[in-house]
Amino acid sequence: MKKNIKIFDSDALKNIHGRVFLSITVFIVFFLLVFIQIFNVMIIQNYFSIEKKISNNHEKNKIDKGNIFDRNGVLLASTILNYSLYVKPDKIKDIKGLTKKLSKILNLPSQDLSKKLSSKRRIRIKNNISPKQHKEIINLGEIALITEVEKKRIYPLGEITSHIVGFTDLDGNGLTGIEKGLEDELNLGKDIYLSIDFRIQNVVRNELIKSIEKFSAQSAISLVMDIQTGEIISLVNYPDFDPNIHDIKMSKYEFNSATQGLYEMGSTFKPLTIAMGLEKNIINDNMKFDVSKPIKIGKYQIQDFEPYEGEISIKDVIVMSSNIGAAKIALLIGKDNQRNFFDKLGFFDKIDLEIKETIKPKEPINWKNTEIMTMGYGYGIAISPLHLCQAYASIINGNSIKPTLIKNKKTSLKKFYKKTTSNRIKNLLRSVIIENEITGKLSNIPGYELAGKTGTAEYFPGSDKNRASFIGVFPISQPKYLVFAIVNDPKGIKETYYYNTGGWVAAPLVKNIIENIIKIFSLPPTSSEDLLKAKKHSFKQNEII
Amino acid sequence: MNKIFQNWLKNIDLFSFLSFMILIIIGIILSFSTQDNLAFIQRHLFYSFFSVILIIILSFLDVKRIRRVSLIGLVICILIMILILFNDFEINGAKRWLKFFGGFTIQPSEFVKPFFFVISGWFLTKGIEGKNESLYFVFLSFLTLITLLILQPDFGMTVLISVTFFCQLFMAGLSIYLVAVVFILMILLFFLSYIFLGHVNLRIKSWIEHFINPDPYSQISKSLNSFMSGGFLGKGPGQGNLKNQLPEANTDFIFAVAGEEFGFIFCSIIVSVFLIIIIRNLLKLLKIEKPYIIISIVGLICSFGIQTLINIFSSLSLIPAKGMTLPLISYGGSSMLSTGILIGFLLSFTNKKNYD
Repeated sequence: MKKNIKIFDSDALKNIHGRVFLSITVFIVFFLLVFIQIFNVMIIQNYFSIEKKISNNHEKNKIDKGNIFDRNGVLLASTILNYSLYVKPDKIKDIKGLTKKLSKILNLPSQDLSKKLSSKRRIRIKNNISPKQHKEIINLGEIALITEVEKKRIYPLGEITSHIVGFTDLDGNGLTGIEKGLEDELNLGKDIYLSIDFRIQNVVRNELIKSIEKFSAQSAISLVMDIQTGEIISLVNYPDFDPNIHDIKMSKYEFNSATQGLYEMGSTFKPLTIAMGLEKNIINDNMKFDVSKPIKIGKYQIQDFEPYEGEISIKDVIVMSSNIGAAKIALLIGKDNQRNFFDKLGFFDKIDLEIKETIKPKEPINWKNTEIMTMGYGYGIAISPLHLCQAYASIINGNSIKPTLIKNKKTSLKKFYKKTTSNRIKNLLRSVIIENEITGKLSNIPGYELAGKTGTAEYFPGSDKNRASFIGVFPISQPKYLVFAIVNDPKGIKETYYYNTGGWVAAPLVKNIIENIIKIFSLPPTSSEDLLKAKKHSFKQNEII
Repeated sequence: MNKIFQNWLKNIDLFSFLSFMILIIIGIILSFSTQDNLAFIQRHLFYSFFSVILIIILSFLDVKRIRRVSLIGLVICILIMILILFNDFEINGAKRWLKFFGGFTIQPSEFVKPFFFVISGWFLTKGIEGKNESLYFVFLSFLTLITLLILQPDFGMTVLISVTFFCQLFMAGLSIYLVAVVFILMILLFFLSYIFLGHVNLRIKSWIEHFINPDPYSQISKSLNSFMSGGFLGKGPGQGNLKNQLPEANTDFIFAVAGEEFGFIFCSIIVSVFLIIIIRNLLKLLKIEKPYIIISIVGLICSFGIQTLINIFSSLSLIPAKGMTLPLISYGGSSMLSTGILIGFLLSFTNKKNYD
């Protein structure tokens, strides 16, 4: 009896008013909290708060992710709504029956389906189901199946712009390309206009495919750039992939070789070596270099593809593409100048592009005389194709040119190279086309003042595989476009007398690309062809003096 | 037959009955909103109808019969709850459900509520009258129930039943010192479970995290955003976004759907109906003298009210998200039918026969 009195106040139940009113008060207080909160959220925050606008914007933007266009407004990436099918496996009564019905509607193998249907958690069975499938699924009346509207990124041009535009995961998070690199802007609903011209992109891709087929090559890379602005007009790696389809088998083609691959470039480095010497006043047109004997370094020796008995000028080093000549000039320039110049060209930096797939080339570990010489003609240092294009564009323009994938991007030009250096390099590159019989014959386009340099680089010393490349600039009297192409592992064919060099493989490829560009942009021929021919003579005179 | 029914109409708390019907109708309207799948709507309609039948049938019973029904129901529920612990059917890591052939599941912890609060009402009354063994029995069965719930684990239901049981003790006249002791115990238990129960810890942490660094894709943000986008009058039936974003839109977050599609005024009406029902039934206690009936009504109405508050609070992010249904409105068979039983009992206890 005592115990009970302890636990309960004995007459509490008879005088219940106090406790009832207390309970009611407590409930009223809690419900008042509810009223206050719904008033706060639904009215104050909705109609009066700035904070809400931000979060609503966020929600809105999640729906309207920005589109990506090419420079002429052709749609490259957009968002559409589509249905995805989910399952709550614990709600299924008859897995077998449902598997059968679903595999019929979705056209999926029943083993995969039954595995998904018997999983423990809610999972996605299929995304992107058609309206017809959606209707059929609703008609099944199966409560374990849930269809949800989801946003999906689509890429109308598929493979053609795959490496530039990139793609997102199923939740719309950017994984590669512009989708990743400019994700923040896209998420804010901003449309992006790229510097890419899809027409050029398309013809370049077709030319690469043709070239790969013709020479049974492994792959090919091409870049087309506006030298005056740094805008990349086309960037193609082939083979490529369809960003609309997430296929693991294709993922090896997602690598963006043009911006991410590091290659020893070979002879296309020679004009850089000359520019280096000119810029530092170490070489001039009066100097001659003896290229009659190979240079021996240990058991390895530097020799020329087509040996020449005697002394040659710097112009001949470029036109004849002499390794020995370039090596000798490099040695003359020396390590510090070479390192400084490479540094100035940006060879030791990651290029700050709008896509994240760029790379920082490695500085050579050893940098002694051997390396100085081999780097003079493009071995012993590996850079990306984009690095090479940036270097050429800068030297030819005279200002430091920063590559960009965005149309009309404001950039400040910085004077970088002496005008005489730029002019001399332009002339030398033009001489290659005019004076080198093979390259000239295979790539000259009368009236358009093509200038350029070939490159043929072995995969590694002694390898029977090579990379045939050509870097071209036109019209050289007022340089506007730079076109670069590498064909990896081309095989010589009868038509090329079984040569697989840059001159035989890549120069004609670049020529074809340029002819297409001329057609698409309706570029008129330049009238200054004679002027350059005249200059050519004047150089010869210079050399004699 | 007609006379029985007229009698029923005369004696029953018609106002409460109609209020409950209003809530059921709101639930049906919202089920059309949240689902484009007809099977869901059909089930919801079926459960709603069945629960109305239960309410009517049970409200005919007298309090003695209800005691017997409850005792049987409580024993069965506890047995099933023991059984499912040894069963290997889990959803999201919890063993709360009994699965029948054909995929039909029931959640016995939903059904245990009305039965337990009637039984505890009876035995507490006996205890107050001096039967110590009754008190032992009621505390023992409470502890058994709580242990089984924690083992499932079902933290929300544990809190609901504990707090409701405390309300019953309080109304039964628990001395003010013990009230204080229980308060301290509850706070202590809460901290212990925060420290030792992983999923409780996680829920609370993510809730706190929301205030510091809101994640726009979290349940809480989605729920709050949908309230916000509703405004005064809502986006209109079926126009909401939330149901496409949250799988629990038709159960735990049904109130947010109501907010998004029907707006502030509609939400206020829902909340008011709940509050009026609770106040009205608590006020009835003043007219009643039988302790058994008083304590049982307290249990039933508090269980109803606290569950409502937990659901609405968590959809408004006033407490961490808790998987609890909104009585009579959320989708879910077990919840709907057990609420039907609870209301049937309640209407039987508040019948005018019991206090005139």
